[in-house]
Amino acid sequence: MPDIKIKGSEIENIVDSLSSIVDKKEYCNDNYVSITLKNECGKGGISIIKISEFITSINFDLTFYEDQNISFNSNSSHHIDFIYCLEGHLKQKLLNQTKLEPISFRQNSIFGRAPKTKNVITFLGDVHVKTCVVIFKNENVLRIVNEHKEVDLRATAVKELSNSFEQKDFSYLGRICFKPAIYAKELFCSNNVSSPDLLFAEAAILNIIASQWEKHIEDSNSEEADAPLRQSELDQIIAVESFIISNISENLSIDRLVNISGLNPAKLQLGFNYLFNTTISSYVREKRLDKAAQLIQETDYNVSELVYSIGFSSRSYFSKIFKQRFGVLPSQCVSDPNLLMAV
Amino acid sequence: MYYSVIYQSKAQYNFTSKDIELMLMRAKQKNKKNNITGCIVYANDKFIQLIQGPKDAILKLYDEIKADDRHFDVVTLHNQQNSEKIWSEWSMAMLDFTGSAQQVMNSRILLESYLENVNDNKKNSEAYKIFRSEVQGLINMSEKLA
Repeated sequence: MPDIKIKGSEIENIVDSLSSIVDKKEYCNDNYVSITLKNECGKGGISIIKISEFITSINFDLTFYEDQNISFNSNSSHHIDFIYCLEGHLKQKLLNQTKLEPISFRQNSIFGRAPKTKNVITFLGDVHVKTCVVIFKNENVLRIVNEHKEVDLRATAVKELSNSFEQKDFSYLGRICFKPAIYAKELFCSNNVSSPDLLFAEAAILNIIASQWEKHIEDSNSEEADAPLRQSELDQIIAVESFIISNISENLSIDRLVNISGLNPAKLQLGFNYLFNTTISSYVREKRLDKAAQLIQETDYNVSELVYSIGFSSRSYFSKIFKQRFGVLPSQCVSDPNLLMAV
Repeated sequence: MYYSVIYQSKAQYNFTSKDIELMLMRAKQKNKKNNITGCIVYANDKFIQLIQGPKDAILKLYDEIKADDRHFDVVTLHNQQNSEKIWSEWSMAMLDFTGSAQQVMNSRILLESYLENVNDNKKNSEAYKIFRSEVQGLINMSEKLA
């Protein structure tokens, strides 16, 4: 399918630009449109909700049969796109990069675009996504403070939001965050939109922006800003570490951890070194010994059972490194666990 | 050819994460011997487990699982022959969705890459589709409750 080019953030324009893939559209009201995808393009639909002059959300709950690019741009104002995948993942072309970068499941992606700059995201063929793209029209008028005019809380907050991002091109692919998920779900749950749902949807969209913005601020102030890996990759390393802990008796070779995490071996090692100050293999070895000590206290396993349970294959190797670590042989501890207490 | 079973069950109320860990340690040894692999997901006091391996071994193991009184309400979600294993390397990978919000998030990140990093052929298998949608249903349910 040819690329879809979404211009500006007016509902009519958005619906028009999607017309090549739309089977039917249903107006709940002027500011809330649900559309169904043509059968030949894929399955699912898109809802477009405009909650104010400056904020519009496009919510994709669909599976395209083939890769589909959708670009966002505007000729007049600066815009910020808050992208969030509740389910599935996308690809995005970041600024100054030729390669497409994945926007992972529940990863915080914020893209700022000056007039004429394009934000291109790719929906991957056969990957089901539930993705919100909240477009914030970051106009100058938002920043003008009229001391004499009474403004409501939302206007003040939106002004702050506008001020916190420079009006230029930027792409930010941040950490994996789960808070927006709580709100994004609200946008995908109902087929029949009732009147109260309109308020729920409005609140959800504001909450999504707020939580992505909050996470962005947190990331910018984080001590990990100088980390050798992206913060989202560090999140993956932390996830791998917790998998190691829950699966200590598995064969935890680097190859396997690479397979399960999707990170390459160099990144995996670098991340472990950065976060835990050790290599993966020695980390796993230490955790196995910890587990062995715990099992000695809590079970009546004999040494062979211990060796198996913590994923070692050689009993003599286990005994040797156990002794190096705890100063006593595992066989001695099995008969007298108090020996370990003293360690 | 391999045989696959996917089932869902509820844990007895006094069955802790620690008990599950010990149970799995024993199970894994046996699985390795019998060329059985799979994945177990624990969330919201429920299990979803996929076991794959030689037909006889799987059916025998499933009978034992059903008879185990540490869980109840065992519902079979999938029970058939497959041409290949989905995750042939893990004797029984455990994804634990209990504990702190951080722990749940870690498991969620990993589940996503675990499900994603499978080749297309395997993704099209019935066992994969059922496992994926059932596990996502279970996780979404526990997210709602949280």
